[in-house]
Amino acid sequence: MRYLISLLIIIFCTAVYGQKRNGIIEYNRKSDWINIMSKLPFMTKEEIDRNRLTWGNREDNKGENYQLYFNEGKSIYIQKEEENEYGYSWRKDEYVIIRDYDEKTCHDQVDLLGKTYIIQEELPRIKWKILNEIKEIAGFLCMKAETIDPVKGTKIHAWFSDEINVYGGPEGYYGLPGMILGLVFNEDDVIIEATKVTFNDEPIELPIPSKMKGKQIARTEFEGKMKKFIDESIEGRKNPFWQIRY
Amino acid sequence: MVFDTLNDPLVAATVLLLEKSDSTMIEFSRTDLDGSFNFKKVPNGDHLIKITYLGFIPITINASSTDGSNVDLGRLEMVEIASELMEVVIRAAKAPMKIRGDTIEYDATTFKVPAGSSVEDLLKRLPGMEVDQDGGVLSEGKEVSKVTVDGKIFFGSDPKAATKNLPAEGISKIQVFDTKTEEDQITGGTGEAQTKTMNLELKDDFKNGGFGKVVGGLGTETRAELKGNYNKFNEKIQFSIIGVGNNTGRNGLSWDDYQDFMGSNSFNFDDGGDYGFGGGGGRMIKFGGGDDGGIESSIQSVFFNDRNNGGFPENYNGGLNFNYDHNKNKFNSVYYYNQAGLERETVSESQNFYDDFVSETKRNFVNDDLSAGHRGEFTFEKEIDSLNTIKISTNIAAIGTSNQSRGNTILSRNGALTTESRYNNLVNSNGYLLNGQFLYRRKFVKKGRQMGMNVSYLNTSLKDDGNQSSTNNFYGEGEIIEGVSLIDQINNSLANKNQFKANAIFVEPLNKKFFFQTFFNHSTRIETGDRDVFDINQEVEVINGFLSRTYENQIMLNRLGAVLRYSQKGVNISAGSAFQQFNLSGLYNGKGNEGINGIVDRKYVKWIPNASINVAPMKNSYLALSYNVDAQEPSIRNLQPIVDNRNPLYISEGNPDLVPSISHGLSLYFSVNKPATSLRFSINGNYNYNVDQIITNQTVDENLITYSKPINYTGGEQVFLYTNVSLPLLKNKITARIAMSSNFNKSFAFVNTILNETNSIGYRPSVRINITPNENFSLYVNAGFNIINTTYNISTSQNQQTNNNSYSVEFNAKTFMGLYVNSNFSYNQFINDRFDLNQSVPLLNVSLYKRFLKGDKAEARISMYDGLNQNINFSQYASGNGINKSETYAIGRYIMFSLTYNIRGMKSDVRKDSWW
Repeated sequence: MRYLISLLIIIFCTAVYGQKRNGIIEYNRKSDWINIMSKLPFMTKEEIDRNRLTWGNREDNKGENYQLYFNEGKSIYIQKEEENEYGYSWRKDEYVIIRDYDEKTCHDQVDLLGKTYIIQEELPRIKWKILNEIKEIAGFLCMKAETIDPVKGTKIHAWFSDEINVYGGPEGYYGLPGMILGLVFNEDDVIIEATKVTFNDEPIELPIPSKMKGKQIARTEFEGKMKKFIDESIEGRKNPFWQIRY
Repeated sequence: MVFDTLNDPLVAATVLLLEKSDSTMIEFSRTDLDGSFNFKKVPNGDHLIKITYLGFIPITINASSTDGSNVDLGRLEMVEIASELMEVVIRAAKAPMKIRGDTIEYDATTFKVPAGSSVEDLLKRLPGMEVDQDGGVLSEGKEVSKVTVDGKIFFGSDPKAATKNLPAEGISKIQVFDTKTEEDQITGGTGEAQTKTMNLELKDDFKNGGFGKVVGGLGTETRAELKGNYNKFNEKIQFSIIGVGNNTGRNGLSWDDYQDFMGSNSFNFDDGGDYGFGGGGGRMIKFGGGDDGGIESSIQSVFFNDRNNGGFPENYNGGLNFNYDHNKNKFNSVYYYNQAGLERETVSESQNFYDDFVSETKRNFVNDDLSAGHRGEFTFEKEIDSLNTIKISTNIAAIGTSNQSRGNTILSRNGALTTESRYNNLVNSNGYLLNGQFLYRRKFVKKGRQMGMNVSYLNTSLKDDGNQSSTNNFYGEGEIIEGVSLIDQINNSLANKNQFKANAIFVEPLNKKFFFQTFFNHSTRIETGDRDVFDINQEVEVINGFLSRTYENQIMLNRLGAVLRYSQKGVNISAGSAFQQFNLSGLYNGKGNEGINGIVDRKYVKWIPNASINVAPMKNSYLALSYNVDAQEPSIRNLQPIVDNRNPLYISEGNPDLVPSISHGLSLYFSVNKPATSLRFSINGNYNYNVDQIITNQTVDENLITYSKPINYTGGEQVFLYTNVSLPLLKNKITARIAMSSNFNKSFAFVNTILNETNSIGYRPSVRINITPNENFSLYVNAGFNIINTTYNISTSQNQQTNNNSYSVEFNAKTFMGLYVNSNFSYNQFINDRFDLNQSVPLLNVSLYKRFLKGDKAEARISMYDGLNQNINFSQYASGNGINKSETYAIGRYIMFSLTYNIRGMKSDVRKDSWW
């Protein structure tokens, strides 16, 4: 019922198809470790239940918050600087994802297994399938699209809204006829959802770091390293996602 | 051209050009002001055009271009959603069967089937549904090719797996619809389907399920064991039961069993702890605690109390656990019963060195112990809102023990017999515990500001009824009896403890980088006791004034501290100090005519600094450095100026002049981990310096009776180092772990007014190699050495080295005909040249097992324990001015045949789990 009401609100409120081409979107990224672990091929039903019973009811997973700054042709996706809540600060992995939709290039700074890499190259085309479902995220009606993770071979679902006329999204995903406001990796392993969308009338300056250090690497090679690690970990019956970003 | 139903053009509608075969997006566009759109350079083939516009039903149309020419789609009309919504909102009345489009939905709860029926039995009763002899399902004459459970594919592609295995009582609805092709799913098309899909919707309270297993074994030497557990759960409730009984000394309860039993209650935050210098408001996961099976032992420590120290054990334990977790409420309750009986015969030998003589003690004794305890723990936690949480917990326990010890002790001095003692002691104890705790945790709207408060009350009572009798012969020169002391006593006592604690913490962020934390701890402990000792003289009981007494001790502790912490980008530095106050008062009244009494009233104040650094100097590494000071008040027993001659060979006396002992500690920890190669390294170091440490001042008389009194002494030191490297020699196949630990200990004792300094250095190198070449074979090889050099400043001739070495090999394999082998061989060596000791204990355990029944649900196993029939437990140690070795008789070789049934089936696995 709540869904219907919000749908109706959206229908009557979106009279103006506006200049929603500059702004900041806040995303929350939540990994469900129980689900991730449950799908590892070496886990038995008994072990899965044991973990779910022991840890499944913990509600302390608040996820991590990210921000996507976007203008008409470019976007940057970074972890949100937050005041630390527990009086303890952990070292964070580097994660800067820059997309230039006009030039069709990327400039990413990402960590993998203790090393920082720079991926600066042409954007590959993401092969999207358009599905028939719709859903509301952060006040926007979104359509569903699907692609296959090039490394894990699992399904990725994106929820995009054609109301935001920029073809980008979080975690470097892009290429749908509207902004991606939700991403779901492999059913329920990781869920990234927009929590707040703020538009700017004027084009905004993207907070691109002045220096991005790291070893230059081609995306295919980076993905190859990742795949090798995942395969080896699974062979050795370890959860690879303790060590690498899902 | 796209128009709405009122014939107005739709501007900026999204138009997608899709591949018809799999709906892959080729291109997208938006409609112009006149509602028109076009795609250029469209590849040849069958395509779909999908148009979406907010508030309108999306439309999909075929658009094929086969020869490269332009395709005109003409005028397209879209319908507003609003009118359609109304139909969706209309709810159908609850009927056993509903038809919506191509979907038939059955309400499973209205079709009655006998208890224990499978889904297949249920399907047979549904109109329009047929089940053939092989279990194949037909709906309206079409084959059901796919079965999903709650929309998820069940057990791969075989639909029979779901219908035959799932119980009917767990199903709320059954939906049957046409199996859609990928294309139908995209276009919403309704081509004539060849097969049907069936979706089983589970009842809410059946979303998960249950598991359990039972193991029973019978062996030679009248050995037997039985163990079982069962667990049932759903999203909100977890219920479990466990029971164990054996006379093998192996409860065999593992961490897995613990987690299966406790569920979401397995690991909890130590919210009730004494807040201190630590960060994060002091929230750490706590586990276990309490003395060995004593009244204050936690359920965890009782659960894992599975030490095999030899002897002939007989154990029974079991419990119930219930957890309810829903929304913001958590309720956990657990009850556990344990009963342990142990009969043990021990032969021990020790030597103690003095400036001008060596004493030797030989003991031979039998212990017959029985203990039983009931324990319950209940916790309720409620998150009132996003900022406020309360938690209430209570523990209750009742225990009863009976310990009988009889044997003899022979003391000699420089080889000449001095004392011989035969004794027989029996103590029966009964006690209870009540403990309640309330906790309040608050966060604030301002991020990083937080506070916590807890109060707790503990009450324990322990009643002892004992009998002590001994005959002590004292020998003079030429081993002639010079004196005889006969002790025959009744010993009854009642001890109560009341403890109140209150703790508070407050954390305030000063800015983004700095935090200020302040904490307060209060604890008041009141111990009261009443002890009556009667000497039995020719069957007449006479109160013993030296040993009968009442006492009341009160220990109050207050601590107020503050910490300033810097926390930014993985660097955490903190410095703080606390003001600690001890108030000790005690009242002691002897019951006899001797008028023995004493009063203790002492106050101490100590200033305690603390500092720590935690950083990640590089990726996947961690470095921690800390300095802390710990102040420990003397025990009132040590402060009372009263003689305790309960043990006639060891008479102790308190010292009212004692001050708190202070320990200064420095610690370092560093670890690094290279995930790409699985290489790990860590090092851990600690240094402690003791100021005013409480040591003993002993005087030993010519009859080797020891008089002992505690005193403060400064200068004791301890160093501890541990380092560990894990090396993958062949990825996932061979891993080596090399560890080295060493410690240095300098301790002092006064013996016959001479200061004894004892230095001991221990080295414990160890190597472990895991070989797991394939799924059917694994081998684990271990070698560990424990070398301790002890030097004495007085009798340097007694300097000695003890070596305890252990080697072990574990081998697991799956062999022919599904037969598994598990073999475990360990070889423990105990060497001490001073004792001319070179003792080896080889232990061999072998088992053969085979799994059977569908899904490996059952296992038959034959095992041989202690294959080389060593039937002994051995230990040796050196301490202070003495060395000791002891042997305890153990069960010895036996063969056991056991059967296991596991509802879930067993994992046929020869490899141990490693979580890294």
